[in-house]
Amino acid sequence: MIKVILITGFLGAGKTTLVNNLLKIKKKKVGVLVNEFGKTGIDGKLIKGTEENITELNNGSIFCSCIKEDFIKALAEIKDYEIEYLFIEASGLSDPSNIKKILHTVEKVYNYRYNFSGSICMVDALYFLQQYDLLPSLKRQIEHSHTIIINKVDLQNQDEIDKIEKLIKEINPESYIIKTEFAHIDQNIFNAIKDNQRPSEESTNTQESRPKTLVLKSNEVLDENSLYNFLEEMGEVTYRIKGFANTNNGSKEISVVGKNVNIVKWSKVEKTEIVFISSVGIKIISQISKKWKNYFEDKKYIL
Amino acid sequence: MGKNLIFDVLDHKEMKEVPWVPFAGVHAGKLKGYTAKEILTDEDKLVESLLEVKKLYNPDGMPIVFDLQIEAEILGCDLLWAEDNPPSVSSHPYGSEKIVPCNCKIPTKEDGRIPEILSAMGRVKKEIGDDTALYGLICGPLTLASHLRGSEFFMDMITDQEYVKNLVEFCAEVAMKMSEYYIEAGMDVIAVVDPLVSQVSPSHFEEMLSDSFTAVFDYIRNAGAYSSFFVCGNATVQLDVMCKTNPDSISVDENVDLVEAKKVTDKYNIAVGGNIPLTTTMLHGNQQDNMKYVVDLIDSIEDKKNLIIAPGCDMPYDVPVENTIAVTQAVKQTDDVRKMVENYTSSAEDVDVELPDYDNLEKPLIEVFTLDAETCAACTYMLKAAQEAEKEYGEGVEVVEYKYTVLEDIARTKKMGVQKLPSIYINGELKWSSIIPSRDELFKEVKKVM
Repeated sequence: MIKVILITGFLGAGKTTLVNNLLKIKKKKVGVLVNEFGKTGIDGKLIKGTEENITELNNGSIFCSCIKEDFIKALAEIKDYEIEYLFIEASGLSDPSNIKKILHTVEKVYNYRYNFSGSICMVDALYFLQQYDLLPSLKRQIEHSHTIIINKVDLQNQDEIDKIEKLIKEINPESYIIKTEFAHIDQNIFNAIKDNQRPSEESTNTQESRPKTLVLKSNEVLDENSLYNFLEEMGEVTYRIKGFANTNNGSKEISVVGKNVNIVKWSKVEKTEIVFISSVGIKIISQISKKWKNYFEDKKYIL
Repeated sequence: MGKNLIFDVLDHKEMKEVPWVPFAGVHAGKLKGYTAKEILTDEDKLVESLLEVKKLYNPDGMPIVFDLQIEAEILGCDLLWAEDNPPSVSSHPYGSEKIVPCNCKIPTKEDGRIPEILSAMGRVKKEIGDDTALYGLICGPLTLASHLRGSEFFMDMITDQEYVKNLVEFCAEVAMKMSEYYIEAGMDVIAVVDPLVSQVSPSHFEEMLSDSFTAVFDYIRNAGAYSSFFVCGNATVQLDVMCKTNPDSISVDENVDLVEAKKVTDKYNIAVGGNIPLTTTMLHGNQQDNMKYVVDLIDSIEDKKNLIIAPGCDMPYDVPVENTIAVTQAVKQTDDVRKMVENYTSSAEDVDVELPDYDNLEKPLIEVFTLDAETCAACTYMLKAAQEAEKEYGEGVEVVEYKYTVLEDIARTKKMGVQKLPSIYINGELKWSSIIPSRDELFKEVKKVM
């Protein structure tokens, strides 16, 4: 029986980093199912190691009605892989409250039972308290996980971390909380992961609640300073930005959460490809148009 | 050269000449003896007809297809076809449930009639695209949303604005996708045609619709094409909010005073196009009527910057060819034509109509004055709104439509003093002008006269 570990957490909390760290501990016989909102798989490229066992599901939450069918089909295919663990990295806005129903469907239809080991929820120490009120899926992520990792504690003061811990315990008194920097965990995590036995609920992920996601592509070489400023402004109107860019200083990986802009060196990319998850709905298109023109003038891009 | 004239106007340059864009939709088929349905479903006939438009009317710009139902058909609406009109929508897939379709339903290049249209665009571009600006017309998000949801949509605008906003956003995504296909096929201008905008108050437009329209126009601009915002009906009060969505141009019909409209669009440095009356002048007038109208229109606007001469909307199928040629001449040789018509006065046919005896009616009479409910989207929904009373009260009420394409109905419209189309009168009294009533509002007024 393949053991399933579901990894949830808001955009930018460190899910992909956690998956990479888990892969370092459990090198063999691991599959990864990555769920993205955008039409292009950024996280899939960021996961190092078991490339042959990485499956990507893009364009929506796996718990949302329009993509759930694809999720179930992916699980049906993966059951035949020779793996011990399946890490499912859910998208940042996923509401996982119906994961057990989905696994039960797989059992009924495909006569295969996955062993649901449990959920890990990643919490961003920097932004969690601001993000919490915004989306019902965040509360659900915590309710349905036993293990909660408060990540990026090095970037936050102790008072705030205490508030986060208190809130988590109010939502889920049985939860087991770990605090990390860069999602560093060790072998003991596998003993800590448990199914918290909470009954399934209908997911709040629907077509209507799905945020607007856009992929910007460009063949131009971008000035890195201008790119930084562009992303910093765009961070104010997005939940998350991630991708790769061709700059005057070489290829870069991009990661933005709020005002926190990270641009780091990356291996060669063919073209710039950036995913924006809008916090302002369709207005994101006009925002990109205006700000791109400010920083890049007549350089071309497509959406 | 024609195309450059259009580009210069849309780039807001100072102009000595004014360009001409005939909106020859189904009318193009008439030039080669094809029906409306034939040219909207047969690529070869469409291309042949469009090349004839170019030959006869010498346009600076022209649309390839004028059919606001292409997207609706793909998304699940049934269509009612006609010989001399574009089709109309006869069913609404989300009429009974408030659903926003999944993005997976956004049309692909292989869906519905899109492949033939894209192929026609490519062929026409090759033949005449060097000197004629080509317009790709897409259904605007508001009108598309109402196609999907039906008459309930107007109730939704009052009771569930969040749903309306979400549905219109989906339709804006469709509009952007269609723009992408058409621009790739070589279209120079993307016209977002949204008749229903004239039916929505400016404040509602800003609350629920502005963001979506702005996104579409920004998208088109970034994709390297020009844009135009087409609206039908009296959109005078909506012009300001329309300008704020930042299209390159706006096109209005005969319900709008073009001179006054240009004062608004000039403030935003947006071009304005229009607005030769489709039926009284183009269809039922003669050559001199058309020449005089165009000369007077051009002369009434001092600053020729940001101006395009065009019909008010999609030309009626049966517009006499010589009338359109007369318009071409009036635009291209204005000084000569002015001399030709300086002593001409139009003798409009006097048709006598008798108005009902409103004080002694047996039952409430609901009169709907339209341009034509089969072709004008706003008129379709206005008539449907009135027909709700028939469903509710059966033989207890009478509902009648008067179309501005029929001579007797034009005479009646003038005799009643109807100012805007579409309008609803109950027992001879104006109740709704250009704004579509909800079912509750309609029944309330009907009960007063029962």
